[in-house]
Amino acid sequence: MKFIYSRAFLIFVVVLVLTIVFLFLQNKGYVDRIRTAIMQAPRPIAQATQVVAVPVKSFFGALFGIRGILSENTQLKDQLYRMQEDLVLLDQYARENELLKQELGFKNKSANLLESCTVLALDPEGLTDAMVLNCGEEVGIRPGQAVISQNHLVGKIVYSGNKTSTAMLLTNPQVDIDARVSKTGEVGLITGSFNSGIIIDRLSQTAPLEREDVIVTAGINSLVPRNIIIGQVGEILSTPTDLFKKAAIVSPIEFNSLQYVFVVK
Amino acid sequence: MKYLIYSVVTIFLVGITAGGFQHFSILHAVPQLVLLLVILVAAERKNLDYLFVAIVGGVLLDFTTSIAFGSYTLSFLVIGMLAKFLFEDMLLARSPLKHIPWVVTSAIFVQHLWIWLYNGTLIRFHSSYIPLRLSEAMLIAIGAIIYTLLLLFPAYWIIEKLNDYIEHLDNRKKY
Repeated sequence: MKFIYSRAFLIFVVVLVLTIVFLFLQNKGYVDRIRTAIMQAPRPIAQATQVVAVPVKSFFGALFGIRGILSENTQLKDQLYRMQEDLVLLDQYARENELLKQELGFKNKSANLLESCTVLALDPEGLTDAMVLNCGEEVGIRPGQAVISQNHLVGKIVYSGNKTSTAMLLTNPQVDIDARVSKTGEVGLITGSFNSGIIIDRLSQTAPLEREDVIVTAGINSLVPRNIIIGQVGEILSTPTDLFKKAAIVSPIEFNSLQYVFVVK
Repeated sequence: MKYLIYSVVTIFLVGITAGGFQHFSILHAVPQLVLLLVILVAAERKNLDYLFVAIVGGVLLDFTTSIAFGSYTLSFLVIGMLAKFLFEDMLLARSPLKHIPWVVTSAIFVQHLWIWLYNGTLIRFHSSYIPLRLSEAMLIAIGAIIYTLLLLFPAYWIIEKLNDYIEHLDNRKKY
């Protein structure tokens, strides 16, 4: 009983009340400036630490994976030869396609409208697989829009305030984005997988799916345009007895090192 | 002066967690350095300094983790108060270092459970946007416990030094 008259309890109650007020103001979009300002505080330290941590991680990663790198190198060389052959064919198809479009009077589709954003914070505790961006409703950002980096899809906006927004990364298990296998057009669902990165699920069991097949967005959701690259098929995770086919997706993006991204408007 | 030191140390811990430890995660988790600081300050200092550390660290983490505001601030405050009660009013005062590992372990579990519960509740009121699964929160908690316990003794040594320095500052202020 003595505890409720203590200073510690009084401070706790004050903080609790302030938290409720803050949550209310946040819903109304009044706290973005304070949030942005406070988030700047640990950024210089985080960036300075990253300068050391990323090369150290790459060095030890390369050291442990040297055998894998050698076999990967051989595979990549083979792949390069095959792709050079494909490229010749693709050039031919592109020329044909262009001619046919002109013939049919199709207008050239304009490129997606992109908004460049700085990543203010990536969840340092690893609980949410989300990031805070320095752009919000003021520049046309709204929930559901796609976030890309190096021409690859990295996530989608889940909340937008006036000046900041929050994006859920593709590695978050709660994310779901429609996608298709570029080669076959088979449609599936992209979702994050705890500790396994990204997976494509809900593919028809009869759909042909091979390693290194490119996965792109399907464009069923109007806020996520078609044909944004997500990654390549890695390991096939489902067995023939499963209802749907499921595979791990390998993305070249380092999700925990993102600094700048684009939001597709 | 001591509040400035606490603020700088807390900002530094959030910074190195975000920039450094995130690249070397164990079971998708990073060490809970701010929580460790709150518990160690509660165990070592005889005043309410731990509340200051809990508020500064909690606000910083609430903003940077994109989960509902209050997830970290309120959990740090409650854990800090419980730790203070355990270390000061119970038998633990005799040899705090011996008991810190299990206090940290329980605190991390309680904290992750609280974050899951708090966010789940606030999602219903549209005040949180990122749902968490209990199974994932608990798995991350296990990773965080392993990582935090690995860093416990170096952290304890650093906090001891910090404590000595702050006590020295306090004494100088008195005379």
